[in-house]
Amino acid sequence: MEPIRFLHTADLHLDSPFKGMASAGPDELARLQQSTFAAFDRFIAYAVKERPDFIVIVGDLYDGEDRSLRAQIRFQQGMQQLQKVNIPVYLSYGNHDHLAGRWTRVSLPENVHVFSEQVEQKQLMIRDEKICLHGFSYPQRHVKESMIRQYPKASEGIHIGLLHGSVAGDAEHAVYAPFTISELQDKHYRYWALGHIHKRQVLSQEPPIVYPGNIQGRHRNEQGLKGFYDVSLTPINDSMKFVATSDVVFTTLTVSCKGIEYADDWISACQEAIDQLTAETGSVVVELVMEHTEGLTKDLAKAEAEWLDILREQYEAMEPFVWISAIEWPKNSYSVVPNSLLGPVEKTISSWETDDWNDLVKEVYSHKAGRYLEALTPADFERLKQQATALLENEMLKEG
Amino acid sequence: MKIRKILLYGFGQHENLEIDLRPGMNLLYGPNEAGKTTIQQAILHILFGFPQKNQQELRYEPKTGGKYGGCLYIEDQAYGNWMIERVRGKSSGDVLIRFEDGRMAEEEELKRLLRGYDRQAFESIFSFSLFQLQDLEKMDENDLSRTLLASGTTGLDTLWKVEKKMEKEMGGLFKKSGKIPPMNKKMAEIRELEQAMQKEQQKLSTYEPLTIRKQELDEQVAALRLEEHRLYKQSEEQRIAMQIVPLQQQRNQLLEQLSHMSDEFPAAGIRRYEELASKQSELQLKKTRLEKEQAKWQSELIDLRPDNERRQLERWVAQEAEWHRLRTERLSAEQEIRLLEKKRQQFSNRLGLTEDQQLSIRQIDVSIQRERQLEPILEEQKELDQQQKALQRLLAEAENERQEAEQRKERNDRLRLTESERAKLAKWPQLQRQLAEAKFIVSAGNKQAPNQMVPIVILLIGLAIGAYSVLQQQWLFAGLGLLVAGVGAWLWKQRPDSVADQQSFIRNNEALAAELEKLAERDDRQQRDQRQVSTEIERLDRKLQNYAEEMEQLHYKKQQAVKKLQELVQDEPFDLTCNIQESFRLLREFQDAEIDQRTWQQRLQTTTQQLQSLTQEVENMLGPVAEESLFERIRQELLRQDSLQEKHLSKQQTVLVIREQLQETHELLEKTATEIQNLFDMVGVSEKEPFYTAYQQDQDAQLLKRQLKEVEAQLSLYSKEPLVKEWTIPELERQRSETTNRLQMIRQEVEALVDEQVKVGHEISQMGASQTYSELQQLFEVRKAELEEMTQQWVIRKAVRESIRQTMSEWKEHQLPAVLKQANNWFSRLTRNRYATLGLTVEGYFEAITAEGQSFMMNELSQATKEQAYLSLRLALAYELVERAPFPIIMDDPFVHFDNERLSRMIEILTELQPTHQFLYFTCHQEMKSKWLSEPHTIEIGPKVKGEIH
Repeated sequence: MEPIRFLHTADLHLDSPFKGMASAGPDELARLQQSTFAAFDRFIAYAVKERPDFIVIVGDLYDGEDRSLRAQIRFQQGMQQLQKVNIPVYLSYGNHDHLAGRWTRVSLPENVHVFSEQVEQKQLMIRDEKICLHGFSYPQRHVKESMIRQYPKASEGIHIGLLHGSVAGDAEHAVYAPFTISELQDKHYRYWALGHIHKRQVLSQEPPIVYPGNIQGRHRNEQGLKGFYDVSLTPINDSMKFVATSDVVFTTLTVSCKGIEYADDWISACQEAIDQLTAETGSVVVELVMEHTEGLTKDLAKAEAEWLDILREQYEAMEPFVWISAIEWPKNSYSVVPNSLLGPVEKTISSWETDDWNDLVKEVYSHKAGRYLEALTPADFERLKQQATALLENEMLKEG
Repeated sequence: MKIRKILLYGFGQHENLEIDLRPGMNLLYGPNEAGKTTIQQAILHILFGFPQKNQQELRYEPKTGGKYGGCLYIEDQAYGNWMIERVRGKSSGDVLIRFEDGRMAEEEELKRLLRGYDRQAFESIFSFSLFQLQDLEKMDENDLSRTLLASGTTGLDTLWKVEKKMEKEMGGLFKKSGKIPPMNKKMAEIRELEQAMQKEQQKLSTYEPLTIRKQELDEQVAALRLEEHRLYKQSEEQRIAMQIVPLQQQRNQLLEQLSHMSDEFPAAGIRRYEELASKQSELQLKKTRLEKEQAKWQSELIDLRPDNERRQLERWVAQEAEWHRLRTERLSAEQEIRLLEKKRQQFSNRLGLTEDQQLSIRQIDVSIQRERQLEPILEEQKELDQQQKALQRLLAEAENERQEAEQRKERNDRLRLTESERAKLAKWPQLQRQLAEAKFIVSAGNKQAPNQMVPIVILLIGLAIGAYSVLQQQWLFAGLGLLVAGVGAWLWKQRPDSVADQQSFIRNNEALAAELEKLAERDDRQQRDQRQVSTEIERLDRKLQNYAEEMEQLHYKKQQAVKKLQELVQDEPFDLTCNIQESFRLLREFQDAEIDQRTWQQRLQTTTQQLQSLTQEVENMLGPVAEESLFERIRQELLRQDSLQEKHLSKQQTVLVIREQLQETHELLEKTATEIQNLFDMVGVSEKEPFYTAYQQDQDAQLLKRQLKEVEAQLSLYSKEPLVKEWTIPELERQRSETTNRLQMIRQEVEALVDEQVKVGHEISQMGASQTYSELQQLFEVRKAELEEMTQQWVIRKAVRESIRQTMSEWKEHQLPAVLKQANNWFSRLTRNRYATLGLTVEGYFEAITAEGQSFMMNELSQATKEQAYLSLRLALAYELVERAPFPIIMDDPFVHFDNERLSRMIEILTELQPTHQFLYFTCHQEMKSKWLSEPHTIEIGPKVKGEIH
């Protein structure tokens, strides 16, 4: 018997702005902004080519509550393409594109089936096989109560759950429609199509409980290849194939500076590493991490910003697209500055608690600008502490 | 950290100096100028670098120019033992650091080993002289805390600098109520972006109403388009009807008109006729032109000589060489003749001929035979002449001789003695005897005999001469001889006659005797000569007789010869006889010349004749011509004739061609005329005018037919559907304008709607495709990220600044009091509780307070007490800093003002510090070492010490 084949994607975040792209020029930005659409186009093209039985999209199609009109129209066009080849689409909206947002709604073609605010079931027949899809759309931004309880248990036919949310007790992400794995397993569905978490992960194999991740990384924390799952279900087994769509890959690249002394050699070493990387993954936004920098001339590490600019220039208007987001230099291996001076100062910094830090930053953070800044976490303070120490040492070195 | 050994390679006056030091107190003693300060400076120099050359401090480079620098061996618990060497190199010297474990290091590491202290900072605490101690006077609290915190000025300053810098950079990034700093700017930018986004969003919210409006528009437009179409169709029908109705009417009219006309007219008759007519006139013109041309060409065929003349010319040209030859010949003949004439003239001149003679000379026989005939006769004649001449000469000679003899006779006659003389002479013999007697008488004693001899000699000579002369017939000499003889005779006569008388007698008669003697002699001679001359004359007369006879004979002979010659030459015109050979030769040549001349004359004549006849002939043909340019003229003529001939030929050709053309034209003309006639015949007319009339009629008919055809063609376009209704034009027009109006109205409406439709559609599609919002969103994110970055920079700067500030205040608040306390402690101990505390005034200056609570400013204290206060402070500082800066304390005789009591307390304190601190105490006071309880390690510096150095 031919397997039931469907595509599982989520978190398209179409037309999403890219975060943390400081000092990127308009060209780079335009190129990046195009990438969510490019990834989406790849997804559609794959579907048109492979003709799955249906497609599920589990929330966060759009990035903002305001749902970019452009994004909606592009989505509409994609759906129309699928309609042409008779592929039904089942989708739910998530926290980013919840139903309460004020936006202009673009009509979707008839092959698109949208889940309502309440958990509901949609049925379809594939080759005499009844498929039941369960899911809901976010009525507003926050859905903190567990929605899983409203999902019915599986009965006859093949049941597939669509759920946009996170595992309960996950400290890292804000909690949306929390669930536990066992709760999902208890429903006895054949497949749990999850959304919301952008990192691709399979929470369980039996049955598959899957976050496909988003289709295009949008900042430094969304590294690596991004895409969707092509799922085939047969009565005996389930198979999942990951298909990459990301147009631009966020990644980190370690460059060894061993044996390098001068800037031009350093640049070519970086270029070599980057070229190798792009040969593998295509366009990238890359964070360079330098190691073994002992041999480098001192001025190179001192004028980091300049070197970053110079390196960026090398890739201006090139294809594949390369954006070097940052260069990380290792901390000075030893401090020349006498302990007598630095020690006490550094000790002072180390002694600061979170409250001290908050006191320190409040001048800016409680300023009206504060609302444009992400709140600082203890981890941030730790990072800031290190940076401050490095700066202090550096400055002392320079002045002394 | 302790110095174990000082090794100076060359420093100031020291050379290869080695000093071993110990932990605790090291007393370095030396008199003035031993080099104590030099050693102290050496330590500082080696540790902190040689002073720059432009600095005030001395560099202590050896005057000898040897090796400069030295090294220190350091014991260091924190970093392990190390040694530092500094030698000449760059201006601060080349430094080398080696650790005990063999590691090497450079400047950077040195900074660390020196705990961040620079020379100034070091000197402010650890190295001081009496003089430097007093620097403390100027210190206030700040300076002190600095000195204390520090790490001396530099390290601390660095911190402060960093702090200031951070502060500045923070201000450069952000100001609470600023506008200019980048963070503030960035915030403003973000705010603007936010607003722009909101605006954009509002704009996008019109999307839905617009889509609805678009739908409406679509519907309206569709309905209107339908109506428009209907009306359009109607109007089309009416338009067609409008066109068809008049066409039909026209057709009928045309058919009517045509029915009255019918005739045939040759196709393109008029065109053909006109072509023919124009051709005819053209041909006519051509004909006249050709005829004219023909006449002209024929008239031009002149000026050419007949053939025979031209041939004659050619012949002449061929004869040119001959002609030239003739001319040359004539010329040479003329020359020759002239030459011969001259020659002849010459001959004639030479011969002295007259004209007649010249003429007759031609007949003279000048043959050799004749010459021979004449020659002997002439010879004979000549000979005779010669003989005659010789005879004549002889005759003349004899005549002369005779004359001479005559003369001589005459002369002789004159010499004949006169009568007186004869008488005298007759007396001579008597006198002669008398004289002889006288002489005899005298001769005995006459001594004058020689003298008597002189006149005799002279007389004799004269006589000799006279005789000789007569003999030689030299009459002049004879005279002379006579004269001489006379003198001699006279002299003789003068001689004395007798010795006395005798002498006088002798002298008287001597002359007479000589004269008489001479006369006798002369008489003799004269008689002899007379006879001689007479005979001579006789002989000469005879001789003359003979010669005359001979002469006669010869004359006769000659006459005979002349006669004979004359016979021979009597018929010659002139005398040939003189120089017969030359005459003959000349004559002969003359005759030859004559003959030649004649011959040349003849030739000249013939040549001239020929030339003249030729010239004559040519002139006959060409008119008068100068002889010289004759042939030139002929050639010219020939050339002219040739060219003319050529032209003539081509003209003839042309004439021929023209004739042919003329013929052709003529034929064509005839043909054309026939054709025209044919045309006329076809129409049945014989004239041009009626022909044209016929044509006009035909044209009209044609036009009508065409019009009909056109109308029918137009009609055929519409004929698919027959007209539904019989229209009248006015009705049709009214209906039509109504339809058009309605149509126009609808169209306007549609246009407006479509405009809106397009606008709305455009707006919608623009909105759909608009990137503005997402771009703004992205930019918003970017700006936020940038703000975040800057904020981070700001935060870390603030963290640095804060930490520095906090640390500083901590030092100030806790460590300064500790130092002061320690200093107090020592100060009161030194002064034996005279002063209880060392404190700071409100203004931050030091003061000393007595146990009684009285306070003194520093400068109010005695010299020694002041020094003690400072020393206490310094030592307290060193004491407090022992962890961070465990340096040896180097002192240059700072205790000289101390009294024994205070000195010993001082030494006590130092001794207490010895376990933790190393001291280098330089002094010039030998007794110093005795002040210590246990004698300290002492090093003597000076010449003596130097000896020990290896």
